[in-house]
Amino acid sequence: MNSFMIKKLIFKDWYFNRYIMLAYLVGGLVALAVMFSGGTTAFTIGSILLVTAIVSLGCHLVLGTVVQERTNQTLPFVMSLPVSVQDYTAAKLFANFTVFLVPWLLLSVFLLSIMSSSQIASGGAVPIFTLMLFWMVITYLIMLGTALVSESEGWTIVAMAVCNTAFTLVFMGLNAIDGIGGALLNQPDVVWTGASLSVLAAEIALIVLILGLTFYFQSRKTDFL
Amino acid sequence: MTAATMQGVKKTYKHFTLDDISLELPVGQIMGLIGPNGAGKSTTIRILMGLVHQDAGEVRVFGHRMPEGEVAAKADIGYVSEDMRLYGGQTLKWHMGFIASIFPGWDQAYAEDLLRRFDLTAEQKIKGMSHGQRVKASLLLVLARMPRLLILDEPTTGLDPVARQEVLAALMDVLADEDRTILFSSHNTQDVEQLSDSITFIDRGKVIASDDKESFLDRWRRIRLEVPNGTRVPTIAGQETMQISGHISVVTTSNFSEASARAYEASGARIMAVEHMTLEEIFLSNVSASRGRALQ
Repeated sequence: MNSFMIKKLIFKDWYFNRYIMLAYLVGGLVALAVMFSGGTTAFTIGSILLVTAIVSLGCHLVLGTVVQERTNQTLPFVMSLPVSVQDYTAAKLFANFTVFLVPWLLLSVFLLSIMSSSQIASGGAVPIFTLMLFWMVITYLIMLGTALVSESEGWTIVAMAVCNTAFTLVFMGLNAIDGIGGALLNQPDVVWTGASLSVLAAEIALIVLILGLTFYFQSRKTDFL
Repeated sequence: MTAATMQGVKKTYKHFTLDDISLELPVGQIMGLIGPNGAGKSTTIRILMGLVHQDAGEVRVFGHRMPEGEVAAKADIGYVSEDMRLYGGQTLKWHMGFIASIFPGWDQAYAEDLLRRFDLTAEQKIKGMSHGQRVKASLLLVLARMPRLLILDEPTTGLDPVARQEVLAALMDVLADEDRTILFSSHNTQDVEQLSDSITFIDRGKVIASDDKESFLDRWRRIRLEVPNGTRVPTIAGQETMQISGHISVVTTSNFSEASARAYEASGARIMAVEHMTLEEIFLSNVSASRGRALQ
């Protein structure tokens, strides 16, 4: 791998997406402020806004940095540089993932810290919120991987639709699992059960798997333009 | 020394096959790759760049075996294609800085000279530029990094005459450097004729002719014959096409000589004229003859 060029491409994508990252971070912070402004309604509205901010950031990045690189025909410019498909894939994954992870991580830390605090005392919901935050990373990587591997705007939009539809179903499914949802959500303290830790481990494994599969399918390509 | 070679290269798609392409591009040569749309010019170039992997055959660029040596080879290649775009939201200055940070051979003074010559503004965003300005900006970015091999895939397509002439003039300057090798693809034979030392015609995925430009222009002739009733025009070696209209036959030959003229006369036909052909006419005759042979 050509680490010099990978770094150049990563810095390029960071530079291009610096305002996007900042805008969604501010949007997420506003959502957090609404969530904890008091009352169940505000919490629900704020939660929806937060999910929307994180999911929209993922969609924006995938469309802006991968799909549009093809539709705007800037990919031949990048590929005319001394880079291989593997270098390009590594740079795209790393740059996109980090641009996504910075707001995601900050918002997650804020959210879970506030929920765990004694004033709010909704620590019981911290595991399921954590699992849903990791699920958002998974759906983002599925969208990113689909865009890179399929090279198709259509398939990327299908992946976005499926992932966003699955969000509610996954939440309902997790909520139905003993040790993750149900009565546990009303507990004031954070309780990490075996079930929630198992799901978290599975999610992390899935993240690694998606990254590996994206690299694998990209490395098998014989035509890149 | 050879800048690039392709030997028996094959690539099969569902509706198109690039078949047994062999090319040799010596250092310092300017090769024009001429073919109609869909002939396989871009696929050939992409294989040469390592962006498309050949199914069979060997490709080497500056000794690097492709596609494995893609990264090392591309460090010495400047590539501009008709379908290549720069980042619309960024200025040309940003692009110049980006390229300069990658290629140690970047010549800032030359870049600024090209800026003036192409009448470009470095601070202008790419999305605010016309098509001609974008092509010239792309060309500036590759020329100022001083690549050993320039690959230009239809760079003049869609340019107005003024922009086209500016681009060709800049390329003519580059040609002064004897170590610079250029592969120039186009379906515009005038551009290729103006620049190239050697020419390769490609059609339907096959190289149908490849030679130096002067040889093409020297050897190809159009012969107008008056053919009396009962006279049969012989098929002479090198005869590519023949069109018959009443008593007049027009023959194109890829290997004209006094002997072939005498052979026509010996058959009873009278030579009305022997005409030189333009590169475009040679190309069209080549395509016509190749497709005719394919039908037989």
